[in-house]
Amino acid sequence: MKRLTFNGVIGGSLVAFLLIAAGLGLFWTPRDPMALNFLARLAPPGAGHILGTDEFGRDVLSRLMVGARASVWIGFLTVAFAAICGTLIGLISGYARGWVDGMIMAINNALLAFPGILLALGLLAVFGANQYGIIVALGIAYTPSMARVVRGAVLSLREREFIEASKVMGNSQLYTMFRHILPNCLAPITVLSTSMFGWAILSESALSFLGLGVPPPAPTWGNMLASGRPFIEQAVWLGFFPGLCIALTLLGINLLGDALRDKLDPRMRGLR
Amino acid sequence: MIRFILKRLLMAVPTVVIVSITVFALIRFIPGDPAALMLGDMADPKQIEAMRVTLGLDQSMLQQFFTWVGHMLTGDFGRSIVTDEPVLHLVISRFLVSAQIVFLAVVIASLIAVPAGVIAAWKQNSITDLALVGIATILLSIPTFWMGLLFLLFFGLKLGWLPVLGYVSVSENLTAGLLYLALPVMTLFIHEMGVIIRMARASTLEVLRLDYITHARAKGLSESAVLWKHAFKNAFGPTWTMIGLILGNLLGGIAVIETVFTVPGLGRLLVDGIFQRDYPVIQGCLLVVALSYVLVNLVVDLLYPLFDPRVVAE
Repeated sequence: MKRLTFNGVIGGSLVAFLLIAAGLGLFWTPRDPMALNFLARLAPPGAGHILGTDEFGRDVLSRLMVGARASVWIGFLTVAFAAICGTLIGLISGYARGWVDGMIMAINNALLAFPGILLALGLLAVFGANQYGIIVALGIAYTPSMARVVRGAVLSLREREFIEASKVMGNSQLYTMFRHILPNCLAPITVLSTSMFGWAILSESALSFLGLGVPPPAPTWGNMLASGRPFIEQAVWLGFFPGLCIALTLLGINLLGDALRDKLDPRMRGLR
Repeated sequence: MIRFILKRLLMAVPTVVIVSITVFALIRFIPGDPAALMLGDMADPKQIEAMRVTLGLDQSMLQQFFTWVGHMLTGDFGRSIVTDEPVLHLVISRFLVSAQIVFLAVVIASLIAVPAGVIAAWKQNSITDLALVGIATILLSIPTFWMGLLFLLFFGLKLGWLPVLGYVSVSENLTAGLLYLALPVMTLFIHEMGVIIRMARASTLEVLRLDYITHARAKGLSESAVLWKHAFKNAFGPTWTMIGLILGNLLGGIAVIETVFTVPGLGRLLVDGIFQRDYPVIQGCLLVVALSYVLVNLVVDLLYPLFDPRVVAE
């Protein structure tokens, strides 16, 4: 019980900090994140620039805040995409059963046979490497996991008495599905969505690092690491702070996810 | 036993079919005419039409699919649009580079992390457990490309122990090759240790709660006998499956590590292929990684009964 709170508190604070930084970055940053200043190229962290400047003299802290906004926004939309599509597919598949279920699950399992990031890379080749390409590509890549979890929950729920009762009372299939089955699937959906938010932020920064994500000069943590890389020997901070932001964010999401999992769904312990 | 193997093999068939359809479809969905792309901007419409016929693009989708499958089965993956090298040769040579890194990393990570996870479960809620779980969670939260970059900075640039740029194959020069492999392998195995520790701990905890463990303890067996002879055998199954999944996932996500350490592997080939719109290469990479993922999971499942014979009976 003690550790559960500890995980929740630390994880929650890290995630809250991320959200505040991202929210603040919408309205205010210490300096203009795009302003070039060649006199202050590669300036070390100090009074003028708290976290230093990059190879174009841009303020690292301001760019990190704008990058946080990009990560949160892409992560949120990706999870929303996967959660909505996956939940619908899982509901239909689990509720209909029979050949519909068989067909959907055959395709679903085959898509699960692709490592997520690989499927996303393939899809990015189709949609093009930009913010919305990433969201759709990652969203499609994560949908099968969500569909599988929701279907599993639906299968065990549909045999329960209260579902039977809803049918006997003459409620339509759709009403039963959304009014009675869906609310009972929310625990696993929440737990998986939390993990997915972390996967999405990690994948987005990895893709941006590869140059397949949000194109520069718009800052993301991934592309900041990539563009700072040639200079890390003179300017360690360029290779350090963006990565630290990603790591702390993921740590927060993982801890929060563990706390949620213990609280909402003890059976899902051990799922990555 | 034979029925189990046949059943598992049959289960892989639809997966392989749908995987190939997906790869085929993905490439066809890419906007733009491949024939026009291959010939460049200067081609006249007649040339493009001729190219479409050579590539079989004038046939129906279904015909195209079967022709494509036929080519794949005979090992004809086409030629790279950019370098004109045969794709199969390119993909296989790059695959070997990536596979050795991933394989070494997963083996080392498992050898350290599985016992660590089991011990954490055994000492549940002790300082050891909290420390191991804490470390594991931190390790799995550090993105590999950042860890790699920091290692590069520290071991490569500051200490100068290990090479920073370039790559030498182990087959060319064993010691030099190993030096180039050290950093990528180290980065990956440290990261994956986090995942495996948590998985091994969770599945061991599950087993330690069962009655037969209480029974084994009641018989007066030593704690280490209970843990390693009784609990571990049944707890290892889920971890084994997870290790298989990690192996496949790493192959898919290896591009970032290869970018950090400038290793000429499959991931880099795929990403460069996407940049250069080199469709035969993209297609070859996707197909090879996805099929090896299916294959790894198949092998993992087929070996599963060695650890847990119960699955054969089910």
